[in-house]
Amino acid sequence: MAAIHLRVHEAGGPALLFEKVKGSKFRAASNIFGTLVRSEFIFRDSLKTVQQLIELKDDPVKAIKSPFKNFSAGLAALKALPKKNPFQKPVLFEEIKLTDLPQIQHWPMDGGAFVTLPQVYTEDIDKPGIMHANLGMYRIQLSGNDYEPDKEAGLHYQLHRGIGVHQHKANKKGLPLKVSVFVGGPPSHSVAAVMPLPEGISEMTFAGVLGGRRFRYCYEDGFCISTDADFVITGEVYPNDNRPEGPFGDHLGYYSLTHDFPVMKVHKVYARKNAIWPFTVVGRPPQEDTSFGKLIHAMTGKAIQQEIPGLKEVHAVDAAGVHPLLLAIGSERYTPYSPARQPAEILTIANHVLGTGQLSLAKFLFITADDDNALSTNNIETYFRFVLERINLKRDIHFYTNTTIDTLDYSGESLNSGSKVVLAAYGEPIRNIGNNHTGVFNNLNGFENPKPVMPGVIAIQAKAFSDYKTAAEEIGMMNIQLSMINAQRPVDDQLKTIAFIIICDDAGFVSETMNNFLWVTFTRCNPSHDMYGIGSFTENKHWGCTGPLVFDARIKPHHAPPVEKDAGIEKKINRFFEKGGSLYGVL
Amino acid sequence: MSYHSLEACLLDLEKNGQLIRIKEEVDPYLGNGGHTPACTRSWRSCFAV
Repeated sequence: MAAIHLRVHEAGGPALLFEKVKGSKFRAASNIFGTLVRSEFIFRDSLKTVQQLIELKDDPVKAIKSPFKNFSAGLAALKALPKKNPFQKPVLFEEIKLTDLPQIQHWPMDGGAFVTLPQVYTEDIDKPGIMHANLGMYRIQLSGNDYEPDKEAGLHYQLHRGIGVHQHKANKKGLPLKVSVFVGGPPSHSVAAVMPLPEGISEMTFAGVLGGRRFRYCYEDGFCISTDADFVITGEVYPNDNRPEGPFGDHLGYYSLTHDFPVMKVHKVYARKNAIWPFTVVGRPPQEDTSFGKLIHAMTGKAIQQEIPGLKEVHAVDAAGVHPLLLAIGSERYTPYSPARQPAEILTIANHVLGTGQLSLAKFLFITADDDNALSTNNIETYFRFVLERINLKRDIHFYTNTTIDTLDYSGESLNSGSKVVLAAYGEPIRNIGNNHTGVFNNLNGFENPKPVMPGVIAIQAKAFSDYKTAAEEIGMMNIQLSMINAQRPVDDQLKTIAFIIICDDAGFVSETMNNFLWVTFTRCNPSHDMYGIGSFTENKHWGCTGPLVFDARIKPHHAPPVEKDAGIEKKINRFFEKGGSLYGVL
Repeated sequence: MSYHSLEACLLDLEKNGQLIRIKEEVDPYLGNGGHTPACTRSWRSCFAV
């Protein structure tokens, strides 16, 4: 099923309704949000209103100034209030078992079947009730590992997530946390679960506004039930009850490995009549969650300028797995009287970005300012060119070491631990990156196959990474060789046209597309450990380099394996796309 | 559109040429024969220098 979904999604194809799922009486649906156009179509009546409401929150004055424009927003707000104990409660149609659900395993090395579009609901034990509840999307492992079939499920949630606070509070009182997992229901419910809403705004009210229908709920045995959902799984998480969860092929394009995560003791499973099981497949981007991200950006894009003063736009780069790479454009207004232009305000903004919600998960943060307002973070190559022409590698690289990073990112020293770096650029161009040749790199001992990636960036192969001591020696040898060349050929030196050197396992692959370069470089590097410099120095605690910056983007032994399609399965699903198959002529 | 259920949304997508039904039976399992590799790797392997 996952393989069919991947092929259809890749071709920009339609949503899929699987009518016969082996081993389950329930149907399943995927690729519902597969394209931004389709997502916008689903929410065509409410998208504008939601954008208006988000803008209103930023500036209440607007509501007074244009009462007619905001009239519909006021009406929409009526849909916001969740409705308790509705007359009809479709999801309570029948009680089933976990093993009755479609057991979808997505990637060959996945640890079992997972719920990939769950809405995980928890309440604050100190402030019970739906208005202080949290709804989030954290993957659920339905089977495999040491989980007792039908009785237990794995609950994978990460740093900075609302559910963590709720578990902490319940555990402090020695009580289990009551968890309700809603699956399906109106599509607005799934979007609400992934929406980064400001503190104090309930996902359930947002779901009501986005869906144009009040969120309906009731309580059964003390658990909240979304009555419009297709399925509801209720259960409890006990203090310190953790169990191995995973592996799972995730949205960075690698497996997230087996680690201890909370286990949910299943209480009951409900299904509505003719329920449909929605799912998605994540893997190396872009995937269906990419258009989820675009939809969220379309709704909240303008709000970011209000949230972080001076910030004009941000782009968490999907091709690099979202959190590893964040491109930003800010303002530089600190010293308009000074002729020397260098990063100042954008450094303050960078700190603000790294202290703000989901943006704080960024690992490589590039930030610049463009006085002409011509630059956009959406054209990634143009953005990089702008930065590479201006960045002063002696001055503009700022590390944050021994800090926390995204749970799914395995490039760090251990789970959740790693480093971050801010690369800031502002001012006149100081580097001519126009000519991109590999000349000086052709005869480096220990390195081979240099390939231009884009102007100013070169990829070069080395033998497989063994450990950090050897890597430091290898790159030390590169440094000596390039520094000697640099000394022999000053001024018009080819080396001066290069800002980044990417050491990798396969230079042909890295240089083939911009997306390959972004994925390999930023998912396989830990800034503090994998960035080096030609002519590097540390001066007054500041690290910099006189020559190009070097990224060691080889796969390290501690990295998770990349997710890869199974050739046998690919062959097996061809029949669906051939004459007589349901998908014949669709792609 | 305010959909009261997931199915209502899917039927709307189908009406607008945005959904295909797969009538054949599909296998939810995409695996390698039940073998789950030991993926509890250690970071120490490359930091112990």
